[in-house]
Amino acid sequence: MKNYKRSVCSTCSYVSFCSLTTDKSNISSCSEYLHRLDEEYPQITKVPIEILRSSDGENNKNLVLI
Amino acid sequence: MVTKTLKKKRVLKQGMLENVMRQFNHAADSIDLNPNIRKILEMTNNELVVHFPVRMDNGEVEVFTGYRVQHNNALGPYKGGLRYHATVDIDAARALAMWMTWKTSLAGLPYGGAKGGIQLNPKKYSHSELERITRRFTYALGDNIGPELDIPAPDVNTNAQTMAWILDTYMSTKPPAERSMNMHVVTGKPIGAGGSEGRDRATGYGVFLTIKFWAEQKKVDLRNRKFIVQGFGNVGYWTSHFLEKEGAILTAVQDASGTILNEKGISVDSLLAYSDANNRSIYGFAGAKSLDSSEFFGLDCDIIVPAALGNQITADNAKKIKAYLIAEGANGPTDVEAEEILLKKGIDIIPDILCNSGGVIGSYFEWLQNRNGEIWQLDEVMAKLEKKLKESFFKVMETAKIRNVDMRSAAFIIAIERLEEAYVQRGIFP
Repeated sequence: MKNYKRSVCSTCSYVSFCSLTTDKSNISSCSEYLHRLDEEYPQITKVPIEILRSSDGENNKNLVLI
Repeated sequence: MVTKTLKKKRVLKQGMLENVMRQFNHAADSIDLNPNIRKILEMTNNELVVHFPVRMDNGEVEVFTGYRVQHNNALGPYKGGLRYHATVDIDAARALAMWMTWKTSLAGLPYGGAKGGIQLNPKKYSHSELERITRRFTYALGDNIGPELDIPAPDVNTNAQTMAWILDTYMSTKPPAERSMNMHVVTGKPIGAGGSEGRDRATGYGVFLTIKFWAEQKKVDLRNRKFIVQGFGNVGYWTSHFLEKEGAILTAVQDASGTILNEKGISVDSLLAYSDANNRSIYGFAGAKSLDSSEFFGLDCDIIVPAALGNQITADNAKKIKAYLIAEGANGPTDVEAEEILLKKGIDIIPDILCNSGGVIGSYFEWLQNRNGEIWQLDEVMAKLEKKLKESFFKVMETAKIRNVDMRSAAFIIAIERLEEAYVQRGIFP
């Protein structure tokens, strides 16, 4: 939320590892946008381990490795 | 320090509006638009800001801010989405409302343009809180929306359920004898509550159709042509589905989770099944190998369908593009510099305002069915969509040829000329 005030990325479930763009500061629409409320159950995001290795790990507390 | 923060915020806020205005001014200049009509179209007609209280699950009351900007209604009732997001504000609503005016005008629909929403972070609210927020917002909008005045539709974080709540609330404010006359106050409803068959696939089918029309025009056979898709959401999937049915081969897909490639072809429905079972992620699909995201746009293919984000094709990757057609399923995927490079290279771009207009045309069909008390079958909806889109597409091609401009400029010219004609014929009251 703090980093992407002008962007729908701010509440997107994919924000921590999205590969579509490096500039998430001003995105007004996205077909990949997925909000937590769209799902029946709490979000469990699966990401490949390579992506986790390359990220800072800050947002990965709830992620499940595949 | 304070001054610096404000300055930065203003620049960011105006980005979207500036972009829409730049496209408008470019087209207005090229057709030498009547200066009085330019004055009208540069401004929005109505801007409504509502503050309304809602009781939360814990018993506390929270006050929300909702927006509805109605840009222009020279061609018919205002039409545009409602989004629930922290970034919703008056500037964003203005830009997107203006964008809707051009889109409905180009599509030849009897609509104007509008946009709105509520400034909130929906993940903070429960389902029942969101229902109460939606109903109270609808009540606050009152008769500023209406089936013959302003027709909202789903957008970011709003869906068919949201539309059903709006419909129910709006109808409840009317006298009993008038209630069923108001089914078309919103589009994008669930099928059981007045929604239309085919609305789910309308945008993707529209993207496919524009590619098909382009191929017919250029005498290109789509069979065995390779295409790549960015974004495997609703638009990306349906576009791929129909292209595959036509004999084209999907060779690469990129989504938020990564990029996959199989030069021999990726089965669209197998990928959808995998994605559905894998939390909407294509990464790890067995029928393809993974690829670095930066290589995506430079892949060897005939058609690129960017169907996810804006500003994806830039000066950096435009030079590497080998495809001869870009079909913009997303809004604004090609930036200005990239477009110049692509056009110089002879690559055709089917502009977003035309390419992804199947969605709003599908909404129009839902509105028409409700208005006339009809229920159309899926094949009927698809046939009508094809007819409508064909008209727009060939009008754009013809204008591009006559005026010697690219397809995007032609699309804007048609949209603005239609509005100009309406104003010239009707005059200005009083």
